[in-house]
Amino acid sequence: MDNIKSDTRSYLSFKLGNEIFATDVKSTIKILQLPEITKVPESPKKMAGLINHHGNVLPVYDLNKSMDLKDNCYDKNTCVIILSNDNYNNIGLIVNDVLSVEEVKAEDIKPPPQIGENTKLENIAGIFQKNDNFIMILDVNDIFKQIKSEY
Amino acid sequence: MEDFRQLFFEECKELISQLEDNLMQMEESPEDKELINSVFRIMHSLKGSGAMFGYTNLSGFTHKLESLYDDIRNSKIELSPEIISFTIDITDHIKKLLEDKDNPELVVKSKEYEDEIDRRFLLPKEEIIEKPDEKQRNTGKEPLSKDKASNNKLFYIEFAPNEDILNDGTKPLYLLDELSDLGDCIFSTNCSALPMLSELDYEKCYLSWKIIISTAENEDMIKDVFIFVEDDSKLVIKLLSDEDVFQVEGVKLKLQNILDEGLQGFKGLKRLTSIYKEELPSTAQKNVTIDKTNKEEAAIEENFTAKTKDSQPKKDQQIARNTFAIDSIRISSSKLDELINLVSEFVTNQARLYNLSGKINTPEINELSEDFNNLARQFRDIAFDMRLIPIQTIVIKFKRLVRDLSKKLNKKVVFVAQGTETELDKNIIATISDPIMHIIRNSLDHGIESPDKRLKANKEETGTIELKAKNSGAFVLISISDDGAGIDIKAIEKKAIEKKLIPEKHELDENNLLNLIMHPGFTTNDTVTDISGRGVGMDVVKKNIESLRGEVEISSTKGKGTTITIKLPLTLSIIDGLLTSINGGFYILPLSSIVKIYNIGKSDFENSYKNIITIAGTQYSFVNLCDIFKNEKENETIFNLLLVSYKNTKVGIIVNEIVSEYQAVLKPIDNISRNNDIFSGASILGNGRLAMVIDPHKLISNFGN
Repeated sequence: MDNIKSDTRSYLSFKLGNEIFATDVKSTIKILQLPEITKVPESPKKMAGLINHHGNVLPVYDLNKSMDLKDNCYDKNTCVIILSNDNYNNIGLIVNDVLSVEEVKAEDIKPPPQIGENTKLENIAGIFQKNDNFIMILDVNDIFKQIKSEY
Repeated sequence: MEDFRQLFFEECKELISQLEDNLMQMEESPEDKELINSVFRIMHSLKGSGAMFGYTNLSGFTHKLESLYDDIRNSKIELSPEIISFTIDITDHIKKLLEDKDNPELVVKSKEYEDEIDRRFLLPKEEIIEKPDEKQRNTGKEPLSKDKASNNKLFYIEFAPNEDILNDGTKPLYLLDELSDLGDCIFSTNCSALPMLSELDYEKCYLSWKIIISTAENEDMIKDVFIFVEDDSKLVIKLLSDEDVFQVEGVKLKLQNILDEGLQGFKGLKRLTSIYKEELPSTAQKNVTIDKTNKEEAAIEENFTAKTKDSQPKKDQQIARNTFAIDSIRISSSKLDELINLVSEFVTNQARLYNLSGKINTPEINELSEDFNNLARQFRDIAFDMRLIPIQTIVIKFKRLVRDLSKKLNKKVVFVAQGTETELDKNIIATISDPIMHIIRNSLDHGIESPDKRLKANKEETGTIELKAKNSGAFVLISISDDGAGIDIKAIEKKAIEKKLIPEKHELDENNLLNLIMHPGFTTNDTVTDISGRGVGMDVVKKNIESLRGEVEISSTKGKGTTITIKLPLTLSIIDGLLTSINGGFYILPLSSIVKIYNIGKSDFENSYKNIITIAGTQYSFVNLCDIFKNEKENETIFNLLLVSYKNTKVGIIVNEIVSEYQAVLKPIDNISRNNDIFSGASILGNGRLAMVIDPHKLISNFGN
């Protein structure tokens, strides 16, 4: 957002269910192959569990559940991406498939449409088009805030 | 440079808190000589290090105070309450000064204090001391050395500071200046190390000194002067002569010449002085005067038992002091934190080794793994022990608070602390200080009544606030009780209903009602606090304590007083746990809370009424974790019941298998459970998997019946 020289930003795109989403690479610190996830009893439904990430314990969330997308089974393409935020501890997100890094010009990013179909729009920062697909940019801050506020 | 300054600040802070403690005790027992000595020593140290780091204001009045307390310990001045409270005021002043030494207001104030000591306490004495003979003019301001001129000894000192001493912010001249405060000195500066001007590095110190000092102080006092630099410098202190040969005419000049020319070493000097000794005004007569010295001086003499008469005991003393120096060292707490992190990693890796050895199962590796296990445990214990500090360190603050605030409120209150040697993790101590402070402030403000009210209520005029600390298993209990008005439970009930915190018809017992004052919505109301006799912010206290995995409990009797008990874990990051499996997942329970383990069958509890199980003739209520932590896999056949002490009773927790004892390194997890926090953290097992650490108390209070 403070990229002054060129107005291009980089986003990591991935699949959640059948939709394509993206996160700002600045807040995406790592992509992991699906590690062993320890389930936590009595935890919220969208929390998949905890993982051991280099000796640190990170909570992992499954947005398929929180965004009311169709529940997909984990397969060999399933990954965990680790997101960071200045105000909160890191979290992991389960994604069905990681696609690529997209360079997008600022002016190509459109505000989210007024009527969403599958997802609560408060988590979407914007939308851009690539080939025939629309890619929704996840608002990472918003996700952190939402997760945090639900306890 | 900054390092040294930091060292100086830390040292000063420590000295000041020690000073405050001493002064508080002194108010209670002004007779205690050891306290006076201690205050004297602190003043001396403050003066010395203050001067070294350019805090000349500080050294000014601390020097005066040092003299004052010196006179007190020599019974020349009587210790009065005024002196004590004056010193307490000064302690505050020192604190301010340390933060902002150049503040002109403080500088002026320092000067005022200095004069005030002279005017109020010292001056009359100084006049008396003015009399003695010529020689004393040189010895400077120390009344002690003046008074005991006949007992002066000569010490030979060689001081060669490290070349880089100036970079550390130390000024050697200050040291020499301080040394000359101890007595009459001959200085000889050795400039032979000075390079050519073109090669001279102005940031280096090329000089070294040879000094002969005539002083009544002992070797320790001289050594104290160099305390900050002795590690880096060449320092030799030797007793040159038992007699003060400076008194012989012309000797000083001769010694000065000898030093300057550097012809004679220590031995030569010693020979010389022993010759001059004969010329002293009749040694025999002198012995008589020493015998005559009064009892007080004999007492002082006793204090200086370290005084050396010949070289042999001196050597022993040297060795003794060296070992003492290694006995305790100062470490920055960040290094300790780092150590704890490493120990945690170590323990985790040890668990991996243990796991591996179980798989490979060769005797050699098994043995190695067991050895490592033992080592890891010791390693962990020692590392944690290092972080434990006694509660005493914060109690001083509380004493001070009670003293100041009770005066302000015109109440008579004594503060009693028990079990202050109880130790807690450094981080915990730092966090509980404020909550306890708050509780005490509340007790003072709202709990303890004014003297006349107390008399009317048939109580002693003076109220008591008592802090008790003790170990209880893996926990530390700290209770703060007062014998004040207590809390009006009826008033709380009324207010709580008014504020709609509880329904009008409720079934809360007194205890639950009392605990309502820790409810956030409750305590912010000021009018309530006046009635209830408690202050604002108990919710904050509770939150702070709970963030440390601790608990707060209140009990109170109207008219009799209030007790607030804080229960805290000894340490935060590693616990001795019991690794269990529940429906295929791993869970750890703190070993400290488990009383007994019973092997049970499914039929024992399956159809029990209201979760009550009978074991060995006793009935216990239980929490079935296998049921609560349900998941798809549910064909477990092994069940164990862990008996856990909970409040005043014992409660059972049902798990599947008991895996092993386990040292769990607690990794913090964000509050992942929706409405409760039955997990105090997660721990990484040897095989890389995670185990949740269960807090049995939270578990039972959430799921027990």
